[in-house]
Amino acid sequence: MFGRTNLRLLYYRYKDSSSYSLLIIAFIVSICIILFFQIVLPQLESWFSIHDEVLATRTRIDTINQNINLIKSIDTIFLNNQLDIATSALPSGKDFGPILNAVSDSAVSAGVSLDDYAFQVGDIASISGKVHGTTKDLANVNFTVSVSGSTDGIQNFIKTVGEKLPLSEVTDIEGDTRGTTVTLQFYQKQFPNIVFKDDQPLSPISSKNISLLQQLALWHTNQALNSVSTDSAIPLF
Amino acid sequence: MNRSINLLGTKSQVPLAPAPRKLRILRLSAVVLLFGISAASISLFFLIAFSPLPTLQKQEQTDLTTLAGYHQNIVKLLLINDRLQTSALLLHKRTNYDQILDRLRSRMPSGLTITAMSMTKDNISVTVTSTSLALLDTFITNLMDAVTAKKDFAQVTLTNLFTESDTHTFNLTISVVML
Repeated sequence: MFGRTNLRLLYYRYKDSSSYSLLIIAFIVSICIILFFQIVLPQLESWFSIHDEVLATRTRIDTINQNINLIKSIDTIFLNNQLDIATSALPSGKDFGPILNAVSDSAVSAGVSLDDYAFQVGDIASISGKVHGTTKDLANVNFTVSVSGSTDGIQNFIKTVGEKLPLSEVTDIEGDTRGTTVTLQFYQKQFPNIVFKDDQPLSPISSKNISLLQQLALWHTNQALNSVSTDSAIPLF
Repeated sequence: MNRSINLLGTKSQVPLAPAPRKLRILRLSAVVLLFGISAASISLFFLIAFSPLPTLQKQEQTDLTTLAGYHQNIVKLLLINDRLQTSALLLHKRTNYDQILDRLRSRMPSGLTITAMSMTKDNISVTVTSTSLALLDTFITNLMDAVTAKKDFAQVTLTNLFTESDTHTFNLTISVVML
């Protein structure tokens, strides 16, 4: 029915009619619609996604470069010293040596004598050994010590022990004319599992933390100096 | 016979007038649309083909390799920050009993001696001894003034006052609540 001759006849018959023109226009518009939805739109989506990815990659590169510049600017030896000080202040485990040193040094500095002492160690794995409400993953050792000395001496002892590393907190003081019992709480914190994403911006040590680090370093140095000078002294315990 | 071989026919002649203006505009619009779509498609193709993404991805990989060399120092830095934050929190939260004692003693007239003390987070109690009641009175007055002025102390409670007849001394026990 629609043979080649018939189509040619139809073409010659309608080629100058408005229906033919409308048909051609409709065909072109249909092609345009198909092209738009099948090619242009996916291309546009792809371009937007590439554009977003370019922006994200640029941001990541900037962050990585900032991290590189920051970490390059820090001296490794200096960083190790800072880590040593920070770890001395808050050790990772229950090390009793530094605790005894801190208490003993404080007693010597304050001019009081220590008569008796007792440790109360909480289990790190259990709830009892952990401090709640202050910060997570913080364990503590309770250290009760009997101190003999004047009120001035006791006060100095409390002050001095607070300026020793590892960090401690006086939780209880009970005293009368016979003697004073001071309960100290020494804190420990296990090294956290550090998960660092390369595109996560590294923050340098804040000015507030630098001041704290300087304070801790000063306490650390004083303690080291005291330890050297009291090495030959009679042990208190 | 001549009529029967006329191929054009005579019945319904299609008018051979030129296409109306509207139709020409429509035709032109369709062509423009087709060109527009094609141009947009080609432009997008070039934009995608010449995007800087592969170069940036290569640069990112290079930078990541460089950063990997510093991972140990990064971990140290993060550990320092973590420990300092916790240390700061502990130092901020701990009670400075030496300062409390200092504040109490600064309000004690000379002649008073601290003979007993009990200090916990919830309760701070101090016993002072003197041979003079006037000195104890001055001490209490000083503390009351501090409470009124809302300086250092929020509340002072007289817990106990007794005399030791053999030593002729007066003992005063007070509890204070710090501001």
